[in-house]
Amino acid sequence: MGNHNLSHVQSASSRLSKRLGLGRATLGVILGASLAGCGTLVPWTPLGQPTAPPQGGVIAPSAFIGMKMKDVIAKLGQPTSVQPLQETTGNLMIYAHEGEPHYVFETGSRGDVVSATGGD
Amino acid sequence: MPAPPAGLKGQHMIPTRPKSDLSFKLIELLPVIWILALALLVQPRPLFAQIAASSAAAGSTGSLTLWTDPRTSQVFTRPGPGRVPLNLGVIAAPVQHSLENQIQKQQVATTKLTQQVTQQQVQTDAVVHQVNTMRPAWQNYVDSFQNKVSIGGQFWFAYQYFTHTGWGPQYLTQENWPGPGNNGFNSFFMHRGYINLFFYPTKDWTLRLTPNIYTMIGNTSAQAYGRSSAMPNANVGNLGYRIKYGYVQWNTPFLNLGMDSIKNDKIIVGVQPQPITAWEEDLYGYRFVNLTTWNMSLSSTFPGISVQGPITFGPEHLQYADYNVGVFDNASFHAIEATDTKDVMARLSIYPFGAKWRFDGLGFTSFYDFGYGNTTPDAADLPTALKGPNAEIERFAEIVHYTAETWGIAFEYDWGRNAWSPGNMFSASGPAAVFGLTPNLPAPLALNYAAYSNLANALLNNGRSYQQGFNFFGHYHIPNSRVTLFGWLEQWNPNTSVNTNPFDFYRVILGAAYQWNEYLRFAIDTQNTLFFHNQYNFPVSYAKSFGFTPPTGFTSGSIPNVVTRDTHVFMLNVEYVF
Repeated sequence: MGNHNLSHVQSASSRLSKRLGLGRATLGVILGASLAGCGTLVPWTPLGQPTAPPQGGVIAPSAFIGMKMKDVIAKLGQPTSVQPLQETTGNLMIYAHEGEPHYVFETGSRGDVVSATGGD
Repeated sequence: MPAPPAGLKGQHMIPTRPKSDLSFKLIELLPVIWILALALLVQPRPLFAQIAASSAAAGSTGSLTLWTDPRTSQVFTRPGPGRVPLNLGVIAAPVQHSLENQIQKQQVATTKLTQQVTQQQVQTDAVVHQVNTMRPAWQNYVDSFQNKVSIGGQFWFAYQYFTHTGWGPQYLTQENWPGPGNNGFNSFFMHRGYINLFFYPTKDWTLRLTPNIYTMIGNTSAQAYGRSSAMPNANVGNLGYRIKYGYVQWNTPFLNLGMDSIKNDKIIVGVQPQPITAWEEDLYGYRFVNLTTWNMSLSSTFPGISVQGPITFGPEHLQYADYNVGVFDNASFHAIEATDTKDVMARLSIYPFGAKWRFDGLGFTSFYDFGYGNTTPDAADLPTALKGPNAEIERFAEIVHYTAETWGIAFEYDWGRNAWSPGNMFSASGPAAVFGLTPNLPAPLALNYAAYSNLANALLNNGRSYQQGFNFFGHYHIPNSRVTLFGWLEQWNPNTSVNTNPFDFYRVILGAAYQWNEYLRFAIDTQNTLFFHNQYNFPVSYAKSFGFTPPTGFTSGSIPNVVTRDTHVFMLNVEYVF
C-alpha cells in the first residue's frame, strides 16, 4: 500500500515534471521562434554565395521535399532570395548563385518544402 | 525405583510407574471411562460442521496395544500366555499428526499465499507495464499534436519621413498622416502584426486563424462618467487586435476524382484572402513596402467560399493555369454585411509555356469582380437620381508578367466601375469635410474646402464612375549581393468620365531591399503621389452634371484649386517573418 502510494506520488511527480518539461519546451519553442532570426544573424560569407556548398554533386530537387527551410540552408548554404508568400504564409526560396546548381523551393505554412525544381 | 521382577528382565515396560500403581489406576478409571462414554452417548449430536471442524482440528486418532495378565494385572508390551490385549488410545501421535498436518496445511496455505502474492506481483507488473506503455502513447499524442499545429508570425514596421504631406490614399495599411501644411511630419508605423495559427488535424483539412494588429481610429467623443465627470476617449491610436483570417481549408476535394491535373486544388470556407490581392503581392514580392493597386480599393480579405489551385499537365506536372473563384460578402472582414446580394470574384492565370514553379516564366492573369455597395436592401431600393454607394461595382485587371529566378517584370491594366470612392481616395488623409467634419479654417476657405469635398463625392461616388489604371512593376536582384531593386509605377484615373479629373494621380515607388537572412528583410524607398494635372478651377456647371451640390453659401461659378498637393515620403521598412 505504501509502495503503491509512493509509486503514485512518483508517478504524479513524474507527470508534473513532464508537464513542466513540456511547458519549458513550449516556452523554448516560442522563444526560439521569436529569436529565430536573431539566431541566424550571422552575415552571409561571402555575399550571396553559399556558406555550405552542396556535397556530393547535384542533389535532385525531389530530395528536398518535406525538409524544413533551415535544413535546406544547411545543405545548400544561404539562398539568393527568400520571399514570404502572403497567399500561403510559406516562402519562395531561390538559389541562383553563379556556378552553382539553381533551385527554386516553395515552403508551405508548416515551413517544410512542398515543391522543388531546378538542380541544373 | 524398585527393581523389576526377575521374569520380566529384558522386556519393555511402561517406564514411568510401577505396574501395581498402573493397574490400580486403570481399575480405578474404568467407571469413570464408562460414565464418560455414557455421557457422550446422551449428548446432543453435534452438527456435521462441528464434527468436521473437530475432526479436522484433532486429526486422525491412533491406538496403543499392550497386553495384560488379568490375574496379576501386569501389563506387557508383547503377547504371551494368559495375556489379553489392552488397547489404549494414544493421544500424542494423533496430535503430532494433526500438528504435522496443520503444518503441512499451513505450508500449503503459505505456498498458495506465496503463489497468490507472486501472481499479484505479476499482475502489478502488468499494470505498471500498461501504465508505462500508456505514457509513451500520451507522449506520442503530444508529439503528434505538435506536428498538427504550427505558429508563425509576420511583422512589418517602418519609419516614414514626409517631405511633403498632401491628401491621398495610403501607401500601406495602418498609416495616416496630416494633410497639406505639415511637411516634415515623420513617424514610426506598425503596418502588420500577424500571428498565424494553423491546425492540421488530418492531411485533408487545415484550419487557419490569424489575429491582426491594427491602429484603432474611431469616434473621438468622450464618455460621461457620473453626473459631473467624463472620461477621455481611449480608442484613437491604440493598437488593437482583430481576426484577419479565419477559415477552414479542404486540401483534397479533387484528389479521388482521378484528375491528376487538379489533385492539389482546394476549397476554402471562411474569412479568407480574395483571389487577386495576395496573389499579386506574391508576384510583386514587396508588399511590406507598398500596396498593390486594387488593394487600395478592394480589401484583401472577405468572408465567403472559394475553390482554387493550380492546373498541371504532363509528366513534369508543369503548371499551365492557376485559378481562384469565390463568392463572398459585399462587406469585407472589417465591416458588417448589409446586402441581400453577394460579390463574385475570379482570377485565372495562364502560363502558356508551363511554369515549373509559382510565377515561373511568362504568364497572363485576368481578374474580375462583380459586387454591390454594402447597403441594406431597404435603403438601396430608395429612388435616387444617382445610385452612389448603392451601385453595382466591377473591377477588372489584366496582368502580363514574366518572372525569372532573379528578376520579374509585370504590366497591369485595370478597369473599374464605381470602384473608387472618396474613402479610397483619402484613405490616408483627406479634407475634413469629406468625413463630415468642419475644418478649423477661416470661413471662406472652409467653404471652398466644403465645395472641394462635395466635388470629390460627385466625381467619385455618383454610381456611374469608371476607373482606369496602368501599372508597371518589377524587381531585379543584383548578382552576388543581398540587394534587390524594386519599383512600382502607376497611373490612376479615378473617373475617366471626367474630362480633366483633378483626382488623377501617379504613384511612383522606387527602392532597394536588403535581405539579411531568410527571416529578415529591410528596404529603403521613396514613395510619391503626384496629382499630375496643372492647377485649375473646376466649373460648377460641369460639376453638377455629376450630381455636385454646392455647399450652403457657396455661390462661386467654379471650385478653386481642385488639384491637391503631392505627397512625398521616404521610408525605411523592415519585414520579419517566421
